[in-house]
Amino acid sequence: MNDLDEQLKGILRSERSKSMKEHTKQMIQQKVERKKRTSNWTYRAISVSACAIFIVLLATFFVSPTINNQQDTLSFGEIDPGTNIQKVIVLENQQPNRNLNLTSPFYFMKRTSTDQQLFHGIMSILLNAKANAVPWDGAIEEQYAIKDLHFVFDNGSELYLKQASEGDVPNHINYLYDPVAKTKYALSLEEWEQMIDLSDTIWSQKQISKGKWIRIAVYFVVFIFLARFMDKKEKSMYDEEEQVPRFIHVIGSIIGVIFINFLDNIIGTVHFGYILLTFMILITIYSILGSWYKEQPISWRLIFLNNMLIVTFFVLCVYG
Amino acid sequence: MAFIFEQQYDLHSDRIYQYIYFLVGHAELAEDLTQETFIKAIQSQHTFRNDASTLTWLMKIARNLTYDYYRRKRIISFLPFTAKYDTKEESFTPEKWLEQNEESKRLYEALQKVKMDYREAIVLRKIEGLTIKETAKILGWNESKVKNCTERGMKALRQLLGGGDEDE
Repeated sequence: MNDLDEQLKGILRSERSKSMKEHTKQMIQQKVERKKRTSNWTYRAISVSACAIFIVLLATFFVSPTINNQQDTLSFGEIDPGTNIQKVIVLENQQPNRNLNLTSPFYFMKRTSTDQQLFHGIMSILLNAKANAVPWDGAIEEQYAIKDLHFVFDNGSELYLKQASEGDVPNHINYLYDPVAKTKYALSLEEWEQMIDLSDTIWSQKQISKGKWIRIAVYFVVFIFLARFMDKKEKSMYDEEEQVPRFIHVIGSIIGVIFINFLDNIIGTVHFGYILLTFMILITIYSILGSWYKEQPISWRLIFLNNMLIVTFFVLCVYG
Repeated sequence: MAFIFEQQYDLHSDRIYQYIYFLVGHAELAEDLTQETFIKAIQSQHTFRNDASTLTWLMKIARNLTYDYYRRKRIISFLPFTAKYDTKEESFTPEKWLEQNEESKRLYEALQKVKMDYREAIVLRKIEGLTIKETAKILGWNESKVKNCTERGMKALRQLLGGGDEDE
């Protein structure tokens, strides 16, 4: 048994006939061709569907009647006495002097109510404001968070107001501010209580329903699936000998988090649109840097697909 | 370095087939797994790094596919129907070409009886003549595990071949 090493070296090897080898070779080529065709079609189908969803969503997003400018909103003086409040949107504003477009779907934290019982008595306050509002310089004294309200009336008109106080407690005066007409109205104690009751009740409503969370989760899963699928497909089209180093991933993530936090401080609330834009810019920069590092041509198609997925995901979240 | 299928197939298919045959001991299955190995190689050629030789890379794929096969087989064997009827690959049946060489036949039979880890180490180190480093790369082990398994495998093989343990 001393020569076991030698025996193993000289072990008889299998015999594969030429025809068998040739047959296997052909089978491999056929199978690869078939798989390639199926895979290409799947890829095309998913890319085209994703693009179609993206275009439709983006189109509906921009033509949506819910996204309008504040220049369409009324001032106190233009309220029609014959109309009624249909909907009220409330959002806590961390930067009182900043005017917000509460109809924007990007304000994820805003609360909306159409409960007519809550609006009881509010119309008369607004009409009092119409009659008694005084000019205002546009500055709000209050330093902390205030409530911004957006009213939608039966006749389609809208009114944007801020609710805050001036002066030190207990000699303070509560006001309703109209940032469009630059006027303010001093509320009586009873009126103030009614307004506070309205804004607090709406603000304390549950923000997102269980169904919405489930929809967002489903979108997220679909999004991850699409991203993974496209990433895999795109990767196979490029020479991946040089992997993007881990530090680029880390730097990218850190810059993203810092930038979003920076924006959050400026805006004062979570603004989906800016976050979306941040993501798109980061993805584009990241892809370009990655291509430079790997000394490969920039994959604009990949950048477009990634951005498209991000937009689709965000828009779906907003609409969800 | 690009993976040119026809060229690589002509160069390495016999060794890949032989390697798989050593692991599974069944000609038809070895041929199927060789086919799968090259399909997988073509599909994942972008993952191929120049720091490994093509043969080493192909062997690694072949090994993974063989393990996948065994894993599948283990799961399927729990099904009542296959548990009853699918037992044909349980024991090693020498092919015609092997019947004529008694020494090799005994070696094949003994190889099929040693633990899979030992079998793999012996095949790559002693039969295919690969270095410890190459073997470690294919098997995904560290070098000391390769050495240990080769030594223990050789010991087990000697015992199976009736030579006892030389060290003892």
